[in-house]
Amino acid sequence: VTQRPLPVEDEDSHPYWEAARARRLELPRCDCCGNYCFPPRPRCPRCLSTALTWTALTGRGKVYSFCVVYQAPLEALEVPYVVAQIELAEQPDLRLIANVIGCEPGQVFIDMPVELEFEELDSDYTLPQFRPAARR
Amino acid sequence: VTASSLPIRSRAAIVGTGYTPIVRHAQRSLGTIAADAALAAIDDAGLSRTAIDGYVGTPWGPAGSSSQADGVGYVSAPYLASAIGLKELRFSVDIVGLPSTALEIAVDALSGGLCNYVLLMRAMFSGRSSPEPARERHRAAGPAQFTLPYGLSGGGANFALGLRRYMHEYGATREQLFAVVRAARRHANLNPNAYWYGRTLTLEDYLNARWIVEPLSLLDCDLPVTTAGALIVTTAERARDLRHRPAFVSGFAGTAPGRENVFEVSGVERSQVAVAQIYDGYSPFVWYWLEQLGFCGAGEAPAFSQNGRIELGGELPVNTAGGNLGEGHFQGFGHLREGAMQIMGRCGDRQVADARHCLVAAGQPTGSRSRHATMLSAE
Repeated sequence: VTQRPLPVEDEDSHPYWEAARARRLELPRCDCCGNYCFPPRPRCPRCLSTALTWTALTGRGKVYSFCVVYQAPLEALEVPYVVAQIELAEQPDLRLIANVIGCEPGQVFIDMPVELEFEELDSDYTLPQFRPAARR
Repeated sequence: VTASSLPIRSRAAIVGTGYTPIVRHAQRSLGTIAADAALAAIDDAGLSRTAIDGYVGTPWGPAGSSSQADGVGYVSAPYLASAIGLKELRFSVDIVGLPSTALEIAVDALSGGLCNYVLLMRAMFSGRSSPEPARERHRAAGPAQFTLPYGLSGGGANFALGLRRYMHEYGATREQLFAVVRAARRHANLNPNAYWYGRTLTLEDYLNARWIVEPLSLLDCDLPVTTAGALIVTTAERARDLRHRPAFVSGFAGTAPGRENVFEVSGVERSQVAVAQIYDGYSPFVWYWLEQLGFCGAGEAPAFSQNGRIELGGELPVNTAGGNLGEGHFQGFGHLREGAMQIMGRCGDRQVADARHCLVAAGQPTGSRSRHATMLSAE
């Protein structure tokens, strides 16, 4: 069984993990310039406004880049696995790190459409993940 | 008149180099190895240790600090001063940064009259490591809370993501990337001190190497080694009185992308650069740096690096001692030392003829982390 490291939430990230527990992906969005901020911080790095509102995202995106890890940093992780930068549909430079799950590493490609999925790590933590988007 | 009002190239020069064997794991302590390198450099410059009144060390790389003890996992200024009896130090500092940043600090200290002869040190320790065992469940705080739960850690995976995207955007291939590794390994065969000295590598070997993080294989990643190196830096005036042809420090470009450029600062044109030492912690760094430095355009480095162009005898020989990929992971110190040795004309079989200007590029060429370009020039 893969024992993923558990995130340690802090003042800035608490709402992010709180939303994940409720199976939502939320990020602070700037009231002034509309920028989504990731990692979540209390100040918009683009316009420096502190007026931010936690906003739900659609969870739709595409693979910006990916790699296949064969030598894992921690023994607890089973190799090989895919780590990807997921570019979210809401904003061109808004990229999250996630695993692409629900397919083989060899099936992942750049620009692959993906959608949000949640993986429960334990009773306290739920991790946003991505899987190949269902055909529409 | 202080030297800081002079143009950079008239301020300081490297006048001595010292180094020790490059091994995976050493039997002797790192402190002893560092002392050997320091004494060798002082001797190489034709000085006595009583002349050394400045010290700039880089015991910790930009990526973080060693958890091991002083003299074991790293070597501090006080440790080394005590080990070789440096009693005349007027300026002494250890920095978290690149060896080329240490050189810039040394030049400033010399220019400001704080000291006359600087010993610049780097000692690298490679311990026996294995993946962290799962004694208890790991926790990821700070920025790692968004990456480590997904198994993304360390540099390799980040650079694999960058390389995959680069290959996608520009149609680059691993066959093309082999040119970088081939140059490093060919040059390492002209450097008896290189880790990979005496071992050949074919394209087939390269393409069959095991993945670390695809698309980076074992042979795209530098090799952790244990070794130490030292340079002696002095004022331009004093340099001319010493035994070797000095390698003058003719320009720096700092960490702010696009704000300054090493060619303008040094007054040296790209076409005048006879040889370059380019940081190659991972093989694609050489591509990114060639583009960043303007030797070719964005996405052109894969083609630029083919047909021996970056090998000895080519238009722009790169990493003539082997670099991190051929000589061993020395966090840019090996690049700086080889740059100085080329300008001094002391590289033997791998000497580039009429090497009047050598560019040394340190650190990661992409992203916001530290980077540094230094020009070394003959008189």
